[in-house]
Amino acid sequence: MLTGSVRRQVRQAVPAWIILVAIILLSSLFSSSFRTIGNIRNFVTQSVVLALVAIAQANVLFIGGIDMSVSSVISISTIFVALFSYDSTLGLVGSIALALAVGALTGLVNGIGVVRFRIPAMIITISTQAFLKGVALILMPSSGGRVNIAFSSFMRNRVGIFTYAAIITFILYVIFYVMYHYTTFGRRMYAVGNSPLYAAQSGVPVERTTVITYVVSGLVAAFAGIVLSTRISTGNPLVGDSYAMDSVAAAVVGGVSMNGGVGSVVGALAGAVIMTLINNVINQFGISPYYQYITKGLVLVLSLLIFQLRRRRSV
Amino acid sequence: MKSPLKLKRNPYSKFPLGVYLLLVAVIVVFFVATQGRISPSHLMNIVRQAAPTGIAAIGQTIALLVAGLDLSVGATMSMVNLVSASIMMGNPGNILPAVLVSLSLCAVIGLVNGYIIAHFKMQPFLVTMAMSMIIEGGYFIYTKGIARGDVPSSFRVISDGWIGFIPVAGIIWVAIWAALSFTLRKTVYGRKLYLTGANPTAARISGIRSEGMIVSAYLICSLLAGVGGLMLTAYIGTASTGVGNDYTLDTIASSVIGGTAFSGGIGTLEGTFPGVLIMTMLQSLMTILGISTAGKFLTQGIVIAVMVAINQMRQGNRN
Repeated sequence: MLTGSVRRQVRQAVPAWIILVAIILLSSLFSSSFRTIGNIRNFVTQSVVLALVAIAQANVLFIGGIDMSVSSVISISTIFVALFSYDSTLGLVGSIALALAVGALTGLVNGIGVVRFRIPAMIITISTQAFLKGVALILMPSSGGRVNIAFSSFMRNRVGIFTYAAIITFILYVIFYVMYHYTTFGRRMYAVGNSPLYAAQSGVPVERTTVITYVVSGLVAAFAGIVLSTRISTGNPLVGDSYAMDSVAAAVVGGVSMNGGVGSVVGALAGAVIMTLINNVINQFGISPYYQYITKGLVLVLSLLIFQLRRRRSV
Repeated sequence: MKSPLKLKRNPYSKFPLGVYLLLVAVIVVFFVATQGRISPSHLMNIVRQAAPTGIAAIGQTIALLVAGLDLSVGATMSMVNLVSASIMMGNPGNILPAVLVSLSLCAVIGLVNGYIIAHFKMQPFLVTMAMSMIIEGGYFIYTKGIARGDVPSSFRVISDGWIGFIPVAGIIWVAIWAALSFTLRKTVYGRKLYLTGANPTAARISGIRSEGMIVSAYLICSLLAGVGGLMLTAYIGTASTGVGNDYTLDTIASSVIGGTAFSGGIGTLEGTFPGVLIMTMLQSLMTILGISTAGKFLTQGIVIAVMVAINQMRQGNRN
């Protein structure tokens, strides 16, 4: 099943999964409150949004880009759902469609900015991030609105320890895994990430692939915002802010390279879970929550060092 | 024949005329929107407000020139605010130790950033992002979540004082700007910095110690973030958690509006200066129009995208 380039990419995720399993084993061993079913349930629910944003971020990192606008797309999605979904099913469907459309449009602007105007990905996505944040603050200056109750309780339904939201996230991971590693489009993305020039010379439609990739990221980020709104039950213009940096950190901890063309979503999932797990473990051990920032920073540095050394050795 | 010792004009540090035209346009819009009720002293007040961003943005531009990026600028400024205010505690006698401790911490941050980036060839984005998390965690642990401290009025002079018609903050900003602008344009160090950013390998082969140049750029960047943090502390006159965090994006925005490229080796401090003024003026225009926060982000988004698109197209045409 895992052959050739797929095997090579998925192997990038191995250190992240080892770290993840080690953290879970050690925490369960030393903390009786960590291993309770309630905490594990909690923790799965907490991981869902970052896991979704990590797909969106890893997606653009594969082609050598970056997407800072995910944060504002998330915030504005929660606002649409909170503004329009409460009273009617029509409003719910409409607000979800609107959120996804805005996500896709943001991706389109990012993609065209990168391809046609040759603006560096970081700068164009910072611009769209700022612009959308402005729009979000006009629509809803502070947290407010209400999310459709039937919808949020649907997403909170459980099968075992997994909420429906978590199951949908998992299904998305499977879909994206197949797309990256077993479709022509996925191959093209990795080719663009490795070298846009060589990709173009081999007949890959680089511009189209790039634009579609940014649109897909916008869509996934919007979906992450919709899921987040069912958890917080309101809209909030700033709730997505931390996700831009956190998603990059999650993807990188999961072995996705910022240079493009290296890594797998399998790793992004582990990275997202590790970043969420740090908060949870620190709480369970009764350590001051102020240590979570330092711990996250150190985990990021550590995994960077691991990958740097591995890659240096393999060259 | 020119003497070979004389520095040739660096084609990548051309004077950024476009951003000055935009600055004039913004000033005109400002006059029209306020129906001409704006006085020169109001403009000087904007300069005073812009000084902390302006000083930190000089550092950010230098980091960008060596093909880097410093995402820890904002956290550094927040840290300097908390540390310096907690050491001063309203006592003018403690100003010197507060400044020294703050700037030493900044120097350590800059050296660590620079060393890791230059020596391990790691992505500046990730290294400085991790550094930013660590600094943030550090000051949370230091203050235990409660910002404490008091800023003596004799220290506040650097942001609040006026010498006649001109704000002291403006003088400090322009002095630092002029000194570093001269350094980048007219000294061997400056030329080496541009070359390292444009092509580190070629620079090394030509006998430039690129690693050292990169470390020095991050050191300057963190130190200037520290000075910016001190100016900010003097400006707000109190300790407040996370007060500098927005400055990371503001400094990057000002630099790229002023024509500094992400690819390294291209850009000028002469462009960053009006870049900062444009950002601050738009922000205070939005405050006058009553949509301060939302308007700031809306205009920031549009201005960055448009200015960088124009810069990119001009560079494309030249090739």
